[in-house]
Parts: sequence; C-alpha cells; structure tokens
Amino acid sequence: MLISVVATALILMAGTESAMKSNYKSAMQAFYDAKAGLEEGRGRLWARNPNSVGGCVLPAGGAVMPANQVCYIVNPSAGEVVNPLDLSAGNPYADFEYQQEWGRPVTAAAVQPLINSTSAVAGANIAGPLYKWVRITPRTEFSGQIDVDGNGFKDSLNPLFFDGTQQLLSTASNPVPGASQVLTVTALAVTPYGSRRMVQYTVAAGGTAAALATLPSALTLDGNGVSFTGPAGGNGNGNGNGNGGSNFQINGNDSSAPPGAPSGVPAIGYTNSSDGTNITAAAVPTANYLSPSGVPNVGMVSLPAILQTPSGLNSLVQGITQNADLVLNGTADQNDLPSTMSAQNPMVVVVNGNFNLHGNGTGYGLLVVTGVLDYDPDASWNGVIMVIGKGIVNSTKGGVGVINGAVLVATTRDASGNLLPDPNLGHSSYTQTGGGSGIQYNSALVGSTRALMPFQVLSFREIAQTTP
Amino acid sequence: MDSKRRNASARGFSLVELLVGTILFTIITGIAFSVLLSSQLRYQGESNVTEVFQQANIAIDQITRDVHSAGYPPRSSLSTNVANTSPNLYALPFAWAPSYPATTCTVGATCTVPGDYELIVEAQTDNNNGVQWIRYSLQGTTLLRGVAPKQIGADPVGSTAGFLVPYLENVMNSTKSLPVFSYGYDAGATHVPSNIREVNVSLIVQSPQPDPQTRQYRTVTLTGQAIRFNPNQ
Repeated sequence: MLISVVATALILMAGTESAMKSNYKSAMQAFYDAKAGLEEGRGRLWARNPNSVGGCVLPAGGAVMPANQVCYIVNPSAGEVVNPLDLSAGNPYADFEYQQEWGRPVTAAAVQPLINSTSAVAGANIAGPLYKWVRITPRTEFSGQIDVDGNGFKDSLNPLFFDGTQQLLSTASNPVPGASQVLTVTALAVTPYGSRRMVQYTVAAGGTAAALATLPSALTLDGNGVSFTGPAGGNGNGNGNGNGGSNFQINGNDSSAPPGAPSGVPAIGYTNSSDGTNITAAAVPTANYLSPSGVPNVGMVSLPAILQTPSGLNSLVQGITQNADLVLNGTADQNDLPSTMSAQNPMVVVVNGNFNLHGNGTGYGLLVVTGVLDYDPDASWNGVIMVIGKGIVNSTKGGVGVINGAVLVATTRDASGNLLPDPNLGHSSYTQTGGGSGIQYNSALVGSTRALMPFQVLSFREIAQTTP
Repeated sequence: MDSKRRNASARGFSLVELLVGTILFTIITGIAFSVLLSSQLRYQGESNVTEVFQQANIAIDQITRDVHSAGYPPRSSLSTNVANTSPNLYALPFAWAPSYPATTCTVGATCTVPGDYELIVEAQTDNNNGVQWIRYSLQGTTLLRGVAPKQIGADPVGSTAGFLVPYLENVMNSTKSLPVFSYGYDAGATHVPSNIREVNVSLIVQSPQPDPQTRQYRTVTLTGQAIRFNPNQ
C-alpha cells in the first residue's frame, strides 16, 4: 500500500510537469498556426496568386471593399464544421471579435460565401496548420480604434487607404488617389488541446510601392541639382522612324486616357525649384516635350514622402526587392531578363548594380536599377523604370525603342555607395543624346505596377483570447 | 502421543520468536516509512520547482506576447500630420533611455534601456487604453513589470517607475551575471533600439524554499525568443 502511494505521487508529479510542457507547446503551436492563417490570407489577396480570393474581397476589379463586407477562409479538420457566423455559446469558433471591432455582430455584415483553405496538401498527405478561420475586412478608423486624421472622431463608414507612407481617410467614398485600400486580416487558431490564439495583420496592396502609382511626370528627376540632356534636334513626332534624335520625344499626354478625354502630366518633372531654369533650358526643342493643355511640359512636381528622402527611397527599393520576381546582383543586361516576361506576364526585376538595357526586345513591368542604367533605345519597356541609387541614366545610341509608362531617377548614394543622409537627395541625371523614341506616359501601365507587388504587412498584433 | 503433539503446537510463540518478529516488523515498517518520507520530501521539492517553472514560463510567454505587439500601431497608421503632432498615438517598437525620443542610443554602449536587465516596449494591447509603455526591470532578484500610458516628451523610465509591480520573484540572473534580455538586429543595421528584431529572454529562477532533502535552493533556467513583427518606422 505504501509503495502504491509513493508510485501514485511520482506519477502525479510527472503528469503535472508533462501537462505544463504540453500546454506551453500547444500555445506556441496555436500562435504559429494562426500566423500561418494570416499568411495564407495575405497571400491569397494578391491577384497573381493562383488561389486568389480577390474576387471575394474586391468583387469588381479595382473596386473599394465596402465597409460592411466580410470575407472568410475556413480550415476545418476532417469531419469538423467551422462556422464563425454561428454565434451560439457552444461554438468554439464563433467570431465574437468582429463585434469588438465593428460594434455589431458579424451576422449583421455582408458576409461573402465561405472559402476553403488551400493550406493542406491532400495529394502529398501533408496536413495544413490548425488555424480555423481567417477573416478579411476593410479597415476604418472605428474598427482600428485609431483617429487617423486627428479630428476627434473615429469614422466607421469610410475605409482607410495607404499611400506608401501614411494611412489616410477617404472622403465621400472616393479612394485617395494613388493609394491602396487598407485591409485587416484576422486569424483564429485552436489546437486539439484547446489552446486559442488570435492574431491580426493590417495590409495594403503594394505597400510602399503604392507610391509608384503617384509618379507625377513622364520623367521625374528626383533630388537636388538634377540634370537633363536630350538630343539636340528632333521633330517631336515620335514616329520612330529610326532617324536618331529626330524622333525623340518625352510625352506627358496619357496614352491610356479614354478618347476625347485627354489627360496627362508634365513631360519632365523636377522636385527642387532651383533646378527649374536648367531643366527647362535643356528641354529643347520644346516640341519634343509635350504635355496636355494647361499642364507645363517641364514643371515642378511633388512626390509622396517616401520618394523624397534617401532613406524613404531606400526602404522602397528594399520593399520591392523582397517581392521581386528576379533580383540581379552586379552588372547585368537585357539577356538576363526572364524569357517568360510578357505583356500578359509583367514582372518585377531589381538590378543591384549597373544594367544595360539593349537589343530589340521589350520588357514589361517594373525595373529597378541601383547602379547606372545604360539604355540603348533599340529596346523598349512597358511599365515603370526606377533608377534609384547612383541615379544615372545614359543613352547615347540611336533606335526606335520607347519607354511606355514612366521613369523616375533619384540619387540616394554617394560615390562610395553609402546612403546619403536625410533629407537631401543627390544630383540625379538623365542623358539621352542618341535618339530613340523617348518616353510616353501611360497611367494604366504605371498604375498596374502596384498590382505586381503582393499585399504588404503594415502592422501586426495579437488579440487576447479567453476560452469560451 | 497425539495429545502431546497437539499440546506442543498450541503453546504459542516463545519470547525469542516474539522479539525477532517485533524487530523484523520495526525494521520493515521503518524502511517503508523512510521511503514514504523521502518521497514526500521529494514531492515537496519537485512541487516547488514545478511552481517556479510555471511562473517563469508564464513570464516568458507574457514578455514574448508584448514583444510581438511592440510597435502596434505603427506611425504609418496615422496621417503624417497627426503623427508629427501626436507621437503618443503611435508606437515605436522599443522605448529607450536616456534622451528619449530626442536622441537615440546604442544598445550595449550608451543605452541604459534597453539593457541586460531592462526593456520597454510600446504597444496598444487593447482598444481602450491607447499606446502604452510596458516595462520590464530586474531589480535585485525581482523582475518587475509596469504599464503606463505613452506621453509626449516624457521619459519612459520615469513614467513607468510608479507603475512597476513584482512580476516574478527570485530571479537570479544578476547574481550569476547572465542578462535577462539580449538582442538581435536587422541584418546590417546599427545597434540602436529601433533596429532590434528579436529579443532573447533568459530567466534563472530560484525556488523560494530550499529542497527539503538537500537543503539547497534549486534553480530553473528558461530561455525564449520573441520576434518584432511591426515596422521600426
């Protein structure tokens, strides 16, 4: 009997210790399960994801997600029902958090049909993480409990937007120009041992790259003491007949504007007023530098904050690099571009070094060059070219190639490659003396570069849970 | 003859037999009680350690959760104008001392906080209390935790000092010269508070009572790692 007592005590002791370790392990597992749910939700928001839920969140292309709309991804285990809309007390997966954020039960929202998770790999018999649901909603001041515009009132109707630097409140249901809607992704995980963790992202399409949609001119020379050199002659018709400088043109008229509704931007934009005289003097003959009526062909432009400082531009390049389809380190040229790049499959390419864009081909998407861009205008590019770092574009050869979209040049590093101290950028330069057909502004191509970037995480938090 | 045998078997135990039996019983009972006592003492000792382990576990879990939420909501959650005028409405992942927020410091050199035994994170952990400073401070052998609202231009160390309450007792890190907090940074970034990417937590916790058997205090060492998820502004 005595030995039994001893044995029982030892077993209880070991059991207690084991249970504690299991609890801790289970809690950790729940956290990472929930995090996996967030990542699935964020990944599937991206239109380029083969299992995109973009249609659930944004039913119409380019539309704003209405404030009362809710989209769920559910991930039940075998034989299990996960219904976050069932708010009965016995449902362990009920979504009570929605009411905390929105002040009304989720059953009062416009909930889209539930979407199944794709995290489990059935064919390979790989179980997915044990999160139960992911909820995607727009974000408002009220739902985020943050007074974005500081007016003392937390708006519950108008969604928030992100312009690459800051969140802004839309007005009268109109999206902020050039900004991405901010969405909230929330995930709940419950392990078989009962551990519950709920975590939340705020995300925005393109993140810092949202600023690209606001490029204000066909060629933007960003910085101080910038320089521009164009071909000495030219007829400004941009017909591309291969006569060198005679066809060169930088055209700020938006080639994607609907017929009869011309719009556009300056042909060349600069950001420091003291550069105006030099740039204007260099942009001759003026017939080569076009803009819509009422818009100067060469003018001073304002940029989002992220494009105004070395550190801001550097963070933009880093953000783009993290999500690039291809990153080339060192000197590279057109032959290094992916062969699968096409108008239907534009890509994000980052060159950490000098890049020689030549040949008779056409590139599509977003090209970022941190060194010198040597441009042979036999080649064309449809999209956006950003030369950020050394901030030098050289083009001395002839050709008929054209850049459709927009170009931004900024010097953020000194000759040794060190990042310049904020807030002043260096002397960026654009030289195209040989000819080519120049730059044709196209707002649709500029705007589409944002869609090349996945949704970026703006913030993360964990929401305290109690077992129901 | 049969009658004599019956009388002989019915005589009972002799004195010697009784003495031997009693001695054997005493020895066996003594051994049994000794084993029981020993196991009871061991159970008591292990219970102490288990309780310490659990308390340290909870502490590391809470520190990890706080670091996970550090920097929420970030500066980019506000319009630039509001962020410029009301920095108390957004959270930097980590607060520091001295000279917060005018001048940053270098961790391990000019920073008092974050340090080996001090950490302050900024986070809005619920919807009702705004951005808060959450401070951990090892003072003596007590790990303290304090939460105070973030205030414009205020010193986070001074502001949280009045809110510190004992969170975990018998933390022996300082006596063993083992930092409670150590830090990892974004790749290639300078060692300033805003670049901290991960916080490594080590706790050496001593049982409040000595082990009943050995009369020695027992210690539990737990380590954990918390990642900062929010941007460093």
